[in-house]
Amino acid sequence: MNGTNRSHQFGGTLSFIDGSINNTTKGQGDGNLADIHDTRNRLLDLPSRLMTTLDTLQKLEAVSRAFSSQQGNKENDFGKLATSALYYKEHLEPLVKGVDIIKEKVKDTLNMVIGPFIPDHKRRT
Amino acid sequence: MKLSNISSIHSLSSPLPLQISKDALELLQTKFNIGPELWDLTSTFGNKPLGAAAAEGAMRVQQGPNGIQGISFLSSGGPLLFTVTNRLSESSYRFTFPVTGGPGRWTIRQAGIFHRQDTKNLQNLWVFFHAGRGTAMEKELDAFASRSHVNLSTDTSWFTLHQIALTSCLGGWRSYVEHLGNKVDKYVSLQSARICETL
Repeated sequence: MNGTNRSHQFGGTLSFIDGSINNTTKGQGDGNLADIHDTRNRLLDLPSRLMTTLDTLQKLEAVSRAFSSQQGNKENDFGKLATSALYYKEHLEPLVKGVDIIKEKVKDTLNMVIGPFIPDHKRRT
Repeated sequence: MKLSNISSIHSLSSPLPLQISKDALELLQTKFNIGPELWDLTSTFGNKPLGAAAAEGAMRVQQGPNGIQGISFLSSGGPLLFTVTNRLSESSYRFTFPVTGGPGRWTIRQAGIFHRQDTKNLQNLWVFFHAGRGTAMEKELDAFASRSHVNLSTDTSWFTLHQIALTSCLGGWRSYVEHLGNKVDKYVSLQSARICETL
């Protein structure tokens, strides 16, 4: 695969993403609804991704602290990394709740616009 | 002698296959005696990040393939405790994170990090899998590699290289969530206005 082809395909991927985002600015009926569905889909796996990242940061902090305590000198870079991992953990943690709130808003709005999802077998005919 | 091996492997973008062949990955695995975690790190490259894999990729600190006991993970419901029991440790993790390509444009990228540390002879092996040429991660890795670090202490390389992973991968999360929140708020306002108009 040469560079030109790769660039072309990459551009295509970005165009696809841009296209879905641009629907917001159109502000027209179905396009808007499709866009909010796209946003909902994007939101779905964010809590898991954030929790996985927080898990890594917690372990990175713990391992760094363990190495830090082994060092003769109190001030060492293992300790600095532990502090940095803790900072990022505290930076990202509130976002899990934030994403939950946005998801609830999307759910309420979609219920308002298209009605709640009712399985076929429970629909009144 | 202090020695650090740093391998930086990238693909042009996450949605495309990682630009490393299976043979080359096997060579890397054999040469440095790395376990199956190398495959786990790279398994999701080549596709858009899958929702089903959203909970995968957290850091592993584990026994090496040659029976090396690195760090014991003693978790009994309380705080995490780690005990360094031998001179070698291996850790690996994968970040999946949002990156902006301009106002209102976001895409999801991945990066995999493998690190083996020998605390006795001060040898380090780092392998970075990441998406795209000229990314923040690649630039910082290049800058680090170009500096003379023959005398770099183990704790400094630990800090610098893990820090590169943190700063280059995690800085966009807050803005991305704000971006999605703003989109939803705008939509909610629009729908509320429409409903008011019809009443």
